[in-house]
Amino acid sequence: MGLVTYVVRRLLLLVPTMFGVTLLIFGLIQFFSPVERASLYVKDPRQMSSIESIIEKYHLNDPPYIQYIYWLNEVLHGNLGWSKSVNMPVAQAICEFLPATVELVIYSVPIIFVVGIWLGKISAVHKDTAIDHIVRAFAIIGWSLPTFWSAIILLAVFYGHLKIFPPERLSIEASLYVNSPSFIRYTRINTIDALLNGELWIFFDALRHLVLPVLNLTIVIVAILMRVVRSSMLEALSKTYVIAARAKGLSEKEVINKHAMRNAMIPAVTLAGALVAGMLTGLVITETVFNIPGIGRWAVNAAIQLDIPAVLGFALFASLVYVITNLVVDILYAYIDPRIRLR
Amino acid sequence: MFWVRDKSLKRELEPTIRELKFVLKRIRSSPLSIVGIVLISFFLVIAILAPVLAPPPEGWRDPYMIPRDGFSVTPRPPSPKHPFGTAEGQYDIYYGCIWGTRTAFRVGVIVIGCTVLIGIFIGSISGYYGGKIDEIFMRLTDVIYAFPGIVLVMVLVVILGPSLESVMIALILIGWPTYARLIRGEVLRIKQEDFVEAAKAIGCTDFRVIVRHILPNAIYPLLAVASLDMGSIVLTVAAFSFLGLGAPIGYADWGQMIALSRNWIIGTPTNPYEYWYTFIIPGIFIFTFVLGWGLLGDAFRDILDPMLRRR
Amino acid sequence: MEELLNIKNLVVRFYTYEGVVKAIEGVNLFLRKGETLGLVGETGCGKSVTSLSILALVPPPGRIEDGEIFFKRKDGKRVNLLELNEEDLMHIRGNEISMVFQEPGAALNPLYTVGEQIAEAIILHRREELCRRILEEIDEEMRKADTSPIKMLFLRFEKWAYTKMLKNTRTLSLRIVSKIPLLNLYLRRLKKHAKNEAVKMLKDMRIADPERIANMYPHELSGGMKQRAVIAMALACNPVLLIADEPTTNLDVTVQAQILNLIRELKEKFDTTILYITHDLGVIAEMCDRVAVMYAGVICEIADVNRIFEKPLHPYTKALLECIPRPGKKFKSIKGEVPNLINPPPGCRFHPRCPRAMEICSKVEPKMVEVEKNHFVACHLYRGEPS
Repeated sequence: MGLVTYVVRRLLLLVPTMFGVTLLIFGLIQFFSPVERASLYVKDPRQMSSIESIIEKYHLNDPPYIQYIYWLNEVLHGNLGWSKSVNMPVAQAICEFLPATVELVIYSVPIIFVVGIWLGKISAVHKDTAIDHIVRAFAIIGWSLPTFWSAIILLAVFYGHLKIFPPERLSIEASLYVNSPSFIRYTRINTIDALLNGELWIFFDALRHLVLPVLNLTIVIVAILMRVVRSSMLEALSKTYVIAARAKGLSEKEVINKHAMRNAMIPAVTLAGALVAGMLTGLVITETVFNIPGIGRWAVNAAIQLDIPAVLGFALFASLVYVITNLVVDILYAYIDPRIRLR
Repeated sequence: MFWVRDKSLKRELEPTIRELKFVLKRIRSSPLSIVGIVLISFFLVIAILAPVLAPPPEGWRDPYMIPRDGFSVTPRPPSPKHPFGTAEGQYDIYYGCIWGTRTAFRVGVIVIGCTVLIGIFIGSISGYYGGKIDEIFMRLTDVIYAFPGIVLVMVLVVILGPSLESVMIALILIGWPTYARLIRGEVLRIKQEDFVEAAKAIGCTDFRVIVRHILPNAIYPLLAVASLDMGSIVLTVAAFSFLGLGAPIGYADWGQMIALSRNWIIGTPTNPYEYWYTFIIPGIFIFTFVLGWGLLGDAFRDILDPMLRRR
Repeated sequence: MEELLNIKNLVVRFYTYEGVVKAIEGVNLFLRKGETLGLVGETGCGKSVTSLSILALVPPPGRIEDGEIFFKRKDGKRVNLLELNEEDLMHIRGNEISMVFQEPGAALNPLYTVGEQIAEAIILHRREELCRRILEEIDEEMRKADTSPIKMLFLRFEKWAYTKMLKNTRTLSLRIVSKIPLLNLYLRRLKKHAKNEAVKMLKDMRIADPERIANMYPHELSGGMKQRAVIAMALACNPVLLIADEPTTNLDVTVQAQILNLIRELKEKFDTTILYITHDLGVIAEMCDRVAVMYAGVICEIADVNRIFEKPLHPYTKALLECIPRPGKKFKSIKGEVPNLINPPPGCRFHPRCPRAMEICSKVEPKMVEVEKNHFVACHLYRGEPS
């Protein structure tokens, strides 16, 4: 079975999986009273004054399977309820806060993978030397470090003391300019928009504000990834086909990069799914500490204020992202390892 | 307990005892794991001696609520009366850290205890009997795995209301699948061994076979995972307390105490590190606690590997 | 006739947590061109370590402490393999000395097709031949009248690339070009030619439908097929010496017979010298011209294959021959256990298990002596010309 068949098969499986996700979220919704659930269906807070009609309209007192259909219908039409913590519909809130989160992610993910894989590789190749010990020490420290604590320390040192890397997304001047008519916000991702508008100083300003959050987000995850890569690399290096490759006359560099690495990547790719989940947690904390108006911060504030539609909207969104990420990971896995495609 | 009366118990447990001795020997020879054990013991002592080291004031109802020396907002630096200083709202940091150790152990032990028990129960039944039961349980774990952890915890916390107990319950609910799968895998592997056939042949009930024969051999991978989990559970709970979704304000929880320091991280214009004690000290407690368990878990994992190969 | 390979006083030790394992203690062996030398001994006696030492591939914590391994290269020069630098060694490995490993699939990387892996060896060592052929092919295509200007441009680029490659692959310009996405398509031609050669090799291995097999992954092939692929990979560059480390041990008996036949045919065809490592005396009888018996890191006896069976001299050799199960005879085994090589027995390493042990055996290590023509033994029971 080829790669293409596998991809198609997994894509087809995506639809029922998404339905499964919505089903579980809906199951969790049932824990709330009808009045609380009513807030999931309104697009405007004023509608809440006529709760009876809402309960009537969406059949909130009927058996769950009927409710599910009405609820799913609303969801598919983009109505996820009203978020009282930010005074806007949930769907709009997601669109509003997504760019900030995406900006963090697009800088963190490449760094995590490049640095994590590289560190794991050199740690394994130079096993038991000074490099190995240093890298492993970094790994165990990174693993034990609470994300919120590292965020606070980074802020205290680099902002409080040295004043070079500030929190939030932009300085006051930059945000004034960005919100003015002379700046077109294409994506609302500041670094990209700045380049598209040709305003280099905004680009660097945004970048400066990104240093600490990205650093905070990557430290812990790089530590975890690096350990997995190291152990899978050590495993691959001990295999006979590595000795056989050397016996063929390949240089050590080629043996490591062409033969050992590819095999070592397999457990690392499997881990990628769990890493994304970890990143979600890290995002929530990082956005909160650095006061970045992203989805994570919105969700936390919503949870504190018991803004149910917001939390559930976040849950739905995050789960879907997770499912898609796992799909991508599975496909990557099948691309690297031909043995998987048979299943 | 029915098997205590059995005289052949010692003989039967001999191989298990031998394996345990081997594990202990290897632990002793690795310096990092010794560091881990020392750290954990240190915290254990603090937790046990908490009422002695930081006695709650007279007539104080809940020892886990940190006593306040006044109500002013500004934290005060370490002094003889407050060895670690006071946090915002005059909560005694020293008291909070000491009793916070108790909280950490309480939280960790309860969550891991429950997840392990549920996991062993479901995992062994699933692995031993297979068939429909196995299918159902595995689908259940799949459903739980389909969600990123933090999402489920947040939703559960909102349903149950923010509190330490809600976070613990949520963590138990999303934590048992890991152990269930682990035990299930081990049971599947072990149940094919000859001694299990032998036990069945002499007429042991299923319960006896599982509990006396399979499980003692299956728990080794568990040691490594549970140790590492201890650290990450405490980290997660601290994170949720920090965000305001876990322990209430004034509770003796390390994460909660760091939450109190959020307004004081950048210090004053003259001294940016003016209020360092509000976040550095509790943070060090969390960091070293998790580090200790991490080193121990690592050591278990390193030992387990050659053990698996020896088999 | 000069020897092709001459191992002198090889000493290999492994530095492990438990202690220093004296794996190989003073081994002397030689191979003549065109012959098949069998190296026989129990598991753990050091046969594989010896073979890895020839290619200087002993993995850490092992170290080659002492000794010389003289090898006569294809160009006639005689070198000491243990003194060569890594670059020269890479030229010899896979090209002049090749190895076939014990487990059929173990030498194959599960993530690449069989054809790709054989082609890898060919690209590595038969580059000049391939480049020449490719340049001819490019010239042909350039002469065709209907070539579009873009294609012509690319062909010129390819011609430049392959001319450069003919001289040396490691030039900076080629390395840079190979990283640029569209330009590095020029390598497709190389891969295609190499793959064709790989398919040819597979055909020589008596594999039906070699095209299809070349595109398969190792896990899709049977044990025998995998081993043929591994042999194809080893012989792809026409090495003068093939080290076969128990190539048929893990295969079914019928498949084993096929592979042995194959090896014999290939030896005839390519005139390869073979160092055949095994613990199976039956295979030795079938395949080898001479035999060396190894025990616990030392060589006990070397002789022509017929002599070894007719007149085994060393007590260990005798014991081994007696252990071969025969119908009607009772099962026999050698009493005792293979020694722990961290603390090997003093003197002769076999003396604790030897039925003819004398006092001197526990004190002095026996030296290898020539008892009759071409028959060497290291045992205090015999006297002869020191070799």
